[in-house]
Amino acid sequence: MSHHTTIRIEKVTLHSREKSSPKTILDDISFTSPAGKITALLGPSGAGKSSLLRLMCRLDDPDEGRIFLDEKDISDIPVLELRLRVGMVFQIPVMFPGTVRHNLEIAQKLCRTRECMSTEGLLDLVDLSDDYLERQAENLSVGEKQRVQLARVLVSRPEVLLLDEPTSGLDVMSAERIVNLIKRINKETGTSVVLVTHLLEQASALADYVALVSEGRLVREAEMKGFLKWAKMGKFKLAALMSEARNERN
Amino acid sequence: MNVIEISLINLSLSLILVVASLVITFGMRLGLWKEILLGTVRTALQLFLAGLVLHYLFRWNLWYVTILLLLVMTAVASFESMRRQRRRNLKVFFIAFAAVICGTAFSLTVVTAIVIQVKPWYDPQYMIPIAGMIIGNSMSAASLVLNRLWGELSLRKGEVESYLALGAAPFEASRHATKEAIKAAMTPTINSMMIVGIVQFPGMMTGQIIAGQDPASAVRYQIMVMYMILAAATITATLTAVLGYRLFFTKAWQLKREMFS
Repeated sequence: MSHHTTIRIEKVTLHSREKSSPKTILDDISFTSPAGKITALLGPSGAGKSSLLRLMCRLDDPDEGRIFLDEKDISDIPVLELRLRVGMVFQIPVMFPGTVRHNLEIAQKLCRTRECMSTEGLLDLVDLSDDYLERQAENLSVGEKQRVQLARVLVSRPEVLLLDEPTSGLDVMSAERIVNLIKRINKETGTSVVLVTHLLEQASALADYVALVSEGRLVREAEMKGFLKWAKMGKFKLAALMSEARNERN
Repeated sequence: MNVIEISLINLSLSLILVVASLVITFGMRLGLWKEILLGTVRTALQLFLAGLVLHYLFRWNLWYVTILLLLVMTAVASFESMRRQRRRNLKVFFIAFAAVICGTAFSLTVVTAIVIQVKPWYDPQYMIPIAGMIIGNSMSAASLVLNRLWGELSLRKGEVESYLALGAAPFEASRHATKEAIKAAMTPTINSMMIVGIVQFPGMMTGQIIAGQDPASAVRYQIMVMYMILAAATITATLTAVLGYRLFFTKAWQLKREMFS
């Protein structure tokens, strides 16, 4: 599978639905995630990164602005087609009751219009042996669940992979495995990846491209090298992100 | 067997029971006295009014009046189902109305046309009290389903969105929630079937026995009533769930954020 799909965000604004204290979650954000590349949506907790990711697979719709998948407005793409072309990996992996095989079979069943991947060899893609197929998904460790979730999403051969803090809550080893996995999938399949992270180190290790988001606004979008240079010039206080990264490691 | 008539004076003595409740709730500082007083007044007024309506209904014995009253009863029950929800709107009312009317129509038709074989088919003496029992139970089933649906979808938001993100349509993503909601709504009916005649003597059977009916005949009626309520609750609960899950999703297969905020 070799897909090269661009996601473009255009002037997106999103407000919270709380009647008591309505607030702006995303404020007039525009950026492009280049085709076949890994884009990191970087920013401190509560910046609106996850909300933005949810908009890209239409789990929510923006109040203003538009999102394009290969220059086609995603609201004009049938929902089923969009959800199969854009795979979402949630921060907290939710396993469906039953075995890992059952979890993968559900994803296959939902694939419908698209040629999906077979169960055999699928776990290999996420660095799990086929012995896992008959294990109860609920009993796996968080890291293993995260990889099963990734495998479940890969079933539909998505053109874009959205990853919401995929290493959150994982130990260093498991986190590293996931990071390597994302790199491998991107390299081998050409799948575009949008990765939400609050860790600058993770972003710099993985991403080709960065969109820095803070308090619902886009601060900067750039290629990783350029971004790091810019950051070193002290244009944005990245110390908070770095300290969060350290805390996470400890 | 003669029925002991209750005079109005004797009936007023039953207020001793209300006073006992008031004393206890005052003592426990439950703050329920207003509700108890309102309930007491409403019970008397509504039942006197119902007696009056039934009196004329039986006298007129007209099919369209019977049907009209059944529709009014269903509408009131649907309104009550809607009132018990966190989010109230006309859609909830119409879903409850459609579900209650289908459950009621099926059970009522089977019971009056096939089992009892009421003649004429609209005889209000049978239609109204039987429909009242069905509609009351259907209303509870509809309310329970809608409440439980919201609860399940809130609780399983992560699972539901995982399904949606994989390309599941709302009916697939909410399948577990709808099943749980239907089961929750049917449980009271099934439980009461388990204990009826052992620890619980239902109102209809008790009423018939007090009215001098042969207990064997009252029992046959009650068995029919239990089956009728089961069918009505099943149909109403299932229809409410099948129609009701849509309330929580947008046309773009998203959970409605405002429903869960």
